[in-house]
Amino acid sequence: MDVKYYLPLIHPKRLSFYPFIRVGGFGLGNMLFPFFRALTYSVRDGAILLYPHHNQFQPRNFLRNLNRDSLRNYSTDFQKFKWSSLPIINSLNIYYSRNWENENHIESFPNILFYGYKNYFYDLIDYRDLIKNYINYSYKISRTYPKNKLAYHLRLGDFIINKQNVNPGKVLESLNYFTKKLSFEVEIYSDSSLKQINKFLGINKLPKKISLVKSVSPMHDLIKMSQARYICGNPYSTFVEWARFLSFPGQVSYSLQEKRISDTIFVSPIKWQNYL
Amino acid sequence: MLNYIFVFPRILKIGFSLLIQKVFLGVEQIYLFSSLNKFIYLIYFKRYYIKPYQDNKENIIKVINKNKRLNYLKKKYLNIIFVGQLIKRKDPFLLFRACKELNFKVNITIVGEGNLKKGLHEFTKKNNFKNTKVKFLGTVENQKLIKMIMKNDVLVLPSRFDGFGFVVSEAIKYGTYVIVSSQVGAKDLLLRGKKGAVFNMGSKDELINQLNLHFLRQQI
Repeated sequence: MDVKYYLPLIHPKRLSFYPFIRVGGFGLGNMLFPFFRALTYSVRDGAILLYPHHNQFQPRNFLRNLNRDSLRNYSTDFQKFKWSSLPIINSLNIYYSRNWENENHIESFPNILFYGYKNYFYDLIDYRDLIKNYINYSYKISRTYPKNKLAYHLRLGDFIINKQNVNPGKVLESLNYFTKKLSFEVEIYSDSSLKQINKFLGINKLPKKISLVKSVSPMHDLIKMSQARYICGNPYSTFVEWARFLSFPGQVSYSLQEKRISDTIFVSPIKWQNYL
Repeated sequence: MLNYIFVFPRILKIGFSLLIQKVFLGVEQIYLFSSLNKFIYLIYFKRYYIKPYQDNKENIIKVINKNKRLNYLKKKYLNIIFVGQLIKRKDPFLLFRACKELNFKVNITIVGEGNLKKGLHEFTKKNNFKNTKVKFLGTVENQKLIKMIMKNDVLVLPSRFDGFGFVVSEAIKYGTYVIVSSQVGAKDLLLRGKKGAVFNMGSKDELINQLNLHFLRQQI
């Protein structure tokens, strides 16, 4: 066996200069798929993992909102995973000294590029515990008890443009159901600001027992959502699917899409338990 | 791991609670439907809190052993063994330099003698390894060596050149994972990385990466 190198990159042909910058980008949920695929396969095959991240620059999101927060590139999140990969300079040397595109190289240079985000968990499910442990170790999270709250993921932004969002009436109805009928305390995790959420829902302020969580970083949000006893979200979002994937056993999930639609989204083998 | 146990006070006896304590060591929370038997939990759980019972799902009495707040990790350290002459060609210094930069605890066992032994001793003293314990065992009998290889998690052979490295085949035979440099002939035994991994000869960063990944491998 020769030295193997694995590298996770989403669509390397776009405007990019690995490992420094990439124009145009994906959300954290989508970026985690190739990363964990490369990491778990490195663990399985004894391969060396190259530095897994570009600094993303997302002009489209910035121009849409004219908001600096839209420029988030997840570098701080990926910095926490740095310990398990080669340093940037070594990775750069290896990346540019080898042929990654042509499969004929496999005999002489056994290196594999994990590209395309392939947003499903079917091949990662066997490594679920490993991934959970890895994230907890990287973020120095000690074992905690599930928070007795409902994490509600409300994704607006690109979901409104792609018409994958849940309509405001249904969102309000589900929030009422959780707070009034089930007496849950609801924490909303969203890519939008409070003002944008209020505008979307057509209300002046959030009802009682509902609060918007101030985001430290998307990865922290993901971890917090996974620690909630109840979770609710749109199964189209890979972000909320990641939170369910990382959750403790026994987390109760509520899908914002009805069963008929949820069953057509083949992302995760972990089934939603309730449908709204 | 079982997360919760619901315990009915009427059927709860001391023997039963002993069984719970013995069998379900990983239990995080114990829910009592009344406080009748709370004294039993005083014995077995040093720290806990109780909420008075109300006719509400949220207020079920909880007895929580806070001492069980362990890390998620199954194994928090790595046992490494190096077997070979302590000479420049075997490059034991590379292993020491790599271990110095690991974030988790490492126990290194060195089996073998050579002119670098003194230097390695000094290196450990000078660098004041925080997470690393080093044992120098000198030359060891074959039978004992096999046992030691079996006890350790990984055998590292960072040689600058090694025609074959028979110790690798012994480690594989006894199920110990192997990390070798690209200049060790026995690397051909490591089929598809299931039995071991290879790093570029002399590359400290690649060795660190392989040790980190093996640390993760142990968490599966």
